[in-house]
Amino acid sequence: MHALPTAAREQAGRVLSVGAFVATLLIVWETYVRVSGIHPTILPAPTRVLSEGWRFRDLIWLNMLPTLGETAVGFVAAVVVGTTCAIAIDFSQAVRRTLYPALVASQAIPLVAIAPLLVVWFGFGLAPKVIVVALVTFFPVTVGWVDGFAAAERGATNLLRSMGAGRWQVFRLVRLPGALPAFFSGLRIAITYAVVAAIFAEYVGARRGLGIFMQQQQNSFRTDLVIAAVVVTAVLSIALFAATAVVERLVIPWHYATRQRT
Amino acid sequence: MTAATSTPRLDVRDLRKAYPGTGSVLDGVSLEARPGEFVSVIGPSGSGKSTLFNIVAGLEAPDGGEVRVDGALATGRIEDCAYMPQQDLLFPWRTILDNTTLGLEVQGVPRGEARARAAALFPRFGLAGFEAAYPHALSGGMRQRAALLRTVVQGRPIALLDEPFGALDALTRLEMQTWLAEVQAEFGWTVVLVTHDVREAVLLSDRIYVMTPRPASVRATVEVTLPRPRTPAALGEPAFIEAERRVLAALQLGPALTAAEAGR
Repeated sequence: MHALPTAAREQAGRVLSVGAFVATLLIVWETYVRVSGIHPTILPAPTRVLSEGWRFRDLIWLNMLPTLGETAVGFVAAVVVGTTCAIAIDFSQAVRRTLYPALVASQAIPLVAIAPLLVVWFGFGLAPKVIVVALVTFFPVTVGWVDGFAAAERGATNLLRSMGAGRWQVFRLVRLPGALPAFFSGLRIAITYAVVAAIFAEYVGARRGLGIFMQQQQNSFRTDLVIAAVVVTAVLSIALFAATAVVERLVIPWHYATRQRT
Repeated sequence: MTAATSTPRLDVRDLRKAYPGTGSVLDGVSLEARPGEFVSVIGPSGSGKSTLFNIVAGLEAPDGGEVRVDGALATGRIEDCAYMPQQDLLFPWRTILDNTTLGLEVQGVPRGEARARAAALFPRFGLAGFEAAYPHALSGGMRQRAALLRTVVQGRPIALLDEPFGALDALTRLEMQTWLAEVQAEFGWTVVLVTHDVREAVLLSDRIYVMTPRPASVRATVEVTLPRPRTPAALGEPAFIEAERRVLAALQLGPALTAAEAGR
């Protein structure tokens, strides 16, 4: 009976405590800058970050769009590639034995070393950024699927087989829907890496984007604008994470309904 | 009873199965069920009842012996038996109606027809009004009834029930047993039930096969002559008590039965 109001109150309490924490941090920061008189090229006050960020909002917006685009394209590519790999791994032991170690190895590639090479190979355009984003994000997606497929109960497989189901039907009716929660867990991890990966790729070489913007502002000692860009990055990441969570609720409402019960 | 036909619906002859490592699991198991009969298989835990079911359902191949359905060789055929596993295994992402049509869907029955066939059984299964509900919203008893509906709606000659009420509380279980006795008699299903529950076996069955511990064979066959369907009132009948006593005696005579198992 009181479940809902309690949950709502808890939620409100959480938001409030996070807000209070951030506010305290900002006040301490602002006070320190004002009292110490530290130069804004070293540490600008939050109010300055805000006002200068707002003054250059058109420029920041213009640089945010390519970053968002690279993130989206790379992320979608990662989901497509990761899903394909996971299905192949699920269907074939041979693929699992060859592909899985290669996937793990792909995560050991130092991006710092490979990113400049990608620029050399693919130029300053979209391709190297998309590759970096996809390289970083497809792994959690693949592992999410593979774990999810493996979690299918043996009993459920036997039941389907007793009904006369072939391998593809077992996959489509049991393994695939059953793996969706694990897939979305992987997706939420992936999306938090995605924006940072795009910015990293831009840092190495780009015409526009938050990454190259940060680098340019740093070179002109506009620390306030660098921090403004960092804030925009954080907001972007949180927004994409939230969007993923919303999609998850829409696609697998049964998962949450089941979890609330047990 | 109309079970006077000479060919049994299900005829299991001398099944043998061994696994590398575990050794012999089934050591010549034979049983039969005539059309409309309800037979039970009872035995100690780990006595190979699941293996027996998997072979009868056609999911595993025996090392020896054969399965006949209506006289025809059916070893390894999956089309003859509808199988109800221990857990209800209702999929949380499907509504109850869509869960119950699963078997028909697999067999390629058009969606509309499958839904109509399953929906027609909902009232008798006490599930009317829950067609669009998801499994988490149902009680344990209702979930088991939905799982049974999913089993019998496939229209296969034999229903294999693997400890269907094991997870239910005692009162719900008795209620479910009484209900199952009624609908089984009403629809004339041929049922093979695996159970650990002596009272359940006696309440529901025409015949009970008592298994030895592994490697399993049939130690005793107990006929229950009381008219079916039986209600909990039958629990006090002398014939009921006598059947129960004979099953228990057969179970406890096992030389390999430990004191702990015998006391369960």
